[in-house]
Amino acid sequence: MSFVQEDVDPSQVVTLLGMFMLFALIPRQPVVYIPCDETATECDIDQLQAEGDLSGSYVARFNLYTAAWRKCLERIEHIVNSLHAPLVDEVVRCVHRAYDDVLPGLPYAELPVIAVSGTSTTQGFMSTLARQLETGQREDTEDVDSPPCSYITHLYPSDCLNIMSSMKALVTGFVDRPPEGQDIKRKAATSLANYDIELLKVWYDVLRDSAGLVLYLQASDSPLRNNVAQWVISPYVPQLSLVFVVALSLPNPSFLHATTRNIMVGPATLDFLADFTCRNSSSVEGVLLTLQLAHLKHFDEPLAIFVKDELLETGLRWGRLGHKRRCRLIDLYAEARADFRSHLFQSKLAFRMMRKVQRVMLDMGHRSAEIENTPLGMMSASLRGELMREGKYLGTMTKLVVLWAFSNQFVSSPIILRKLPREKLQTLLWELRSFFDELPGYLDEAREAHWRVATTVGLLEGGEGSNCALIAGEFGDWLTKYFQERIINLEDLRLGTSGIPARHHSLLRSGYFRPLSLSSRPSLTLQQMLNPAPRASIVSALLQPQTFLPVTHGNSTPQRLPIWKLPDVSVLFRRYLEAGRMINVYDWYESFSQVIESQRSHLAEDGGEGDSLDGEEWKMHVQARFMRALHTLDFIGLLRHTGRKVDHVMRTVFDMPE
Amino acid sequence: MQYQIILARRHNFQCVNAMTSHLEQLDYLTKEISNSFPGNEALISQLTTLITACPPTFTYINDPYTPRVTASLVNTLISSLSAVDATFFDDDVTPIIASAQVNAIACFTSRLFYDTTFNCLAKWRPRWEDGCENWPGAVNGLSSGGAGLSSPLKGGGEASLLNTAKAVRMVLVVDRAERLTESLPELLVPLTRLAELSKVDIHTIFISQSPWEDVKPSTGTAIDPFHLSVYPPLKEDTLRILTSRFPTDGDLAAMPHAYHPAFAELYAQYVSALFSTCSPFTRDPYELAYVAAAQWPSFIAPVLDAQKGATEFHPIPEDVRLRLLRVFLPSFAAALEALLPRRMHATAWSRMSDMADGVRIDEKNSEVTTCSLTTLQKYVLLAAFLASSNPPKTDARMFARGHEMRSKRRRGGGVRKTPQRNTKGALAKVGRGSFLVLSHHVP
Repeated sequence: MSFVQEDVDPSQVVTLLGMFMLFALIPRQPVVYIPCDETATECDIDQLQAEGDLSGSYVARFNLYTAAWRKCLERIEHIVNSLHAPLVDEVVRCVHRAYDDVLPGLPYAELPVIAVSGTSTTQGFMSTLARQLETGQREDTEDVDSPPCSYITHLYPSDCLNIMSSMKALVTGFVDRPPEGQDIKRKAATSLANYDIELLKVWYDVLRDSAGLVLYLQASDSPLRNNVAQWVISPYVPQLSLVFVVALSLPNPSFLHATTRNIMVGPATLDFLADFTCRNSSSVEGVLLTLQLAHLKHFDEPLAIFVKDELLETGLRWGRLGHKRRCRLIDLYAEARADFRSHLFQSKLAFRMMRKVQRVMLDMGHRSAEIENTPLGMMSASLRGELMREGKYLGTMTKLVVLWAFSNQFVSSPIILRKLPREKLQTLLWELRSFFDELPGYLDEAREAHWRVATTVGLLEGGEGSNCALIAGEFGDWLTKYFQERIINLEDLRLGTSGIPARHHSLLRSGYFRPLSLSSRPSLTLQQMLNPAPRASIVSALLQPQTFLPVTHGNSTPQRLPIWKLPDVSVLFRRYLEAGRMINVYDWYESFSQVIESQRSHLAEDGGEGDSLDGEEWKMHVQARFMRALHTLDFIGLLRHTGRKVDHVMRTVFDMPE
Repeated sequence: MQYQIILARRHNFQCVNAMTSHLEQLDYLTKEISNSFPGNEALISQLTTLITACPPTFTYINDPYTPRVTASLVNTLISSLSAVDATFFDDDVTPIIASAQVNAIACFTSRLFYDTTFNCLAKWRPRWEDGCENWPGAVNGLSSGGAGLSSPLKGGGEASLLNTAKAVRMVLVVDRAERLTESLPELLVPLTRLAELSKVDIHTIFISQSPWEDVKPSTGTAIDPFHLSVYPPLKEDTLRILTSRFPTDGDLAAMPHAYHPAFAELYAQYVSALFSTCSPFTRDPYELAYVAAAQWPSFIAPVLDAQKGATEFHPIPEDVRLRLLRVFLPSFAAALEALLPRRMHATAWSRMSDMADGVRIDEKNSEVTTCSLTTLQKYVLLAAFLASSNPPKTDARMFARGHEMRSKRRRGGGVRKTPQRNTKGALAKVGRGSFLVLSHHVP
């Protein structure tokens, strides 16, 4: 079950990039919450569809997905851009100054090369850089002269097959943009070759001093990277102010600037992301891909249609559900959603407060405030409601700040004795107050805590002689209680209790959706989607079809079915595995027909209506089934035709993972 | 009549005058170039004489030590020779010299080679407004092959005659000629016999790091060159080059800064100390100048600190200089270690506050890089390292396909014994060195 809130209430988004911007509170942003809990109640699609016909919801859900994903993308792009900004500025500065501050006394001019490395250095970064360079914004604003605009040429791996092609791409990349409208028609045979660096020089002589040249090299093994650059380009360097910007990693295809997106992820997805980034690939593109898959996965579930009221009103066929009941259902859903959103916000607020308190404690030098978990891990734990202990601990610490201050200062004057604990408590409270001040004022959920902090500050500052140990004690108790009440497992919430069918309720109460696993039917996990193993899954599907096919006979599915219960392809595949390297098709057919015979007699025993096929017809029937199964295996690629032996085919799969 | 005699006398006088003044001019030119390229006097005077007098058609300069310096020397020489206005000397001895110097690596196709050569010889500069046209005389000969060079060369010779009836002597210099064998092998032989093929007065000079025996085509079609060898520069010459490169603006009145002319003396001492540290590793003046330029700002920094606030320059006492040099001696080696293989560039090195940090920073960088690797990447790296010590046979077994593999599979039989080998020795033979960086970081 999913949850996308739009423009109704202040809500916020936790970005997937929680590592960078922990629980960014952004008002009026929709919430997409993607937790995953294996133990959560199953969502029974069939039952829902029986309740109201939702079969027409695919397009609607796809639209929802597009909208949600676009928001997520926008948000991520914003974050990534702000992360890249300092580096981009730095590179731009380097490019502009490449020919300004040259070390005196060098024996010859060097070609300036700026290498950008790192796994997230992808096209996205490069295009940001290019955009900034082309607009010609110079850092030093005191430069009154019109800033030199840079000519930029991109060289991709496909351009750099050999020296000639790379030089051609380099030269034509610049020269094809004629300077100040002086477009000249060159005769190919009698003028300079289009891979001649001299041509670039001639072109540049026209521009002279009005522009810098920047060359983006995205090929890691370009011939330009080795000595060729040294011999061909270097002699021209001081006259030709050319700068190389080299991306050391391969350009990954990036959506970051192609399309634009906003997300809040659930604990399981967070865990998965953290694991994925530290184990496999730490690139932004990898994270994006994971998130997009999580979105897709979420909207794959029919119940995800409940993310928007309007859609429920229009695009769907509700079957036999009457108008009145439908409206009531929608109201209930809306109520439950609002309830959930409020709880979610409270939880995030409490979490941010907790982080704040922890940071203040650490800044004061209390090493014991360190929490083993990483920020991302803490986030995931908070969504699961597993931060009880830490909350209690921090609350107690706040209480004891005063006492510790006393004990640390055992040799000190009475003034310090009185001042220090007060200052510490004050720092903490001020930090919290400024945190609340930064929040938009209309957030109801934050009001109580804000009031409490403000009152405590007032108490502390107002009464000069008041007992700050007492104040600290009260505040600490309140904090502990606050954390305990707010940071809870959202799965356990009881929301909008009445009226909603019980099976919906399980989904609704938390507005969750489960991207990682849907237990009611075979489904791919994110891991499998990112790193599929088609061969293994085909083989296991053939070996154990019962785990992949809808259950028909009874509930219990034994690990290994008797062979006559298997579908034809699986029967054929069993026999295939028992054969040698080459399979005689006739023998295969014989053994297959035996199985089919036994199947027939078993079915007849079970009292099913035995088919009335006589000898010849039955034979044709079996043959047809055999041919179909054979062709299926052939289609999957498990057979290899060979001319070596008549009536034989070769196996392509030998070792079995059993 | 009278007038004619006077004219004739005057003409004779001018001839004699021209002769002497041409020789004088050459002398002067030789001296000037020798000053900027100390230690190469012999080569310079030889080349000057050869080019101006009666050159062999093909000269081979072999310089295994400082090819870059030699190339720039030859370039300076021929361009100043061709800049001598021979029309002024009204005799038949002084030729007009047209020259071109091309780099065999930079000219990676024959078209580039021809374009560069002809434009250079004809002193033709392509202009954007004219559609970047090449020198028009070259069009006919561009067809193909070395023989094609001849006709435009003739044309070139005639075109360059301008208005006089003087002979034009052309000089074609090929840098890095050893690379011709790879980039333009079809041009190698024609270039050596260019004068003979084109029947014009053209003189080809190859500058190469390799000896002629390595470059010479095996077919024996090339003619043997006139050999000139360049010897490694002597210490004094190198020091003179380095000292002369002190990038000062010569403004004595300026406030003390790193390139104040008053530091020239200190710079000479500095360069000499640097040379004694670095000379066992490289004697290339350009490389040494590179290190010197990179190291100088930090070397002079303490001196500048001492001079801070002063309105004029205070001379530095001898003992202070010696102390300074002694303190900085170890950093010279560090600079060489980082800069010679270009693990850092000079500007970055000059910005570092403490030279000894260079290596440490390097280590730190590699550590940071390793930490940012993901687990999978670390394993791949480790696996690649381990696999690098596999004997080739293992690779073949793992990656060879089909037929070969099948034939080796034998049926039946007992366990075959593999021939015992000294595994340790074998591993040591194929193995790489130790792998320090990873050992800490793989979980």
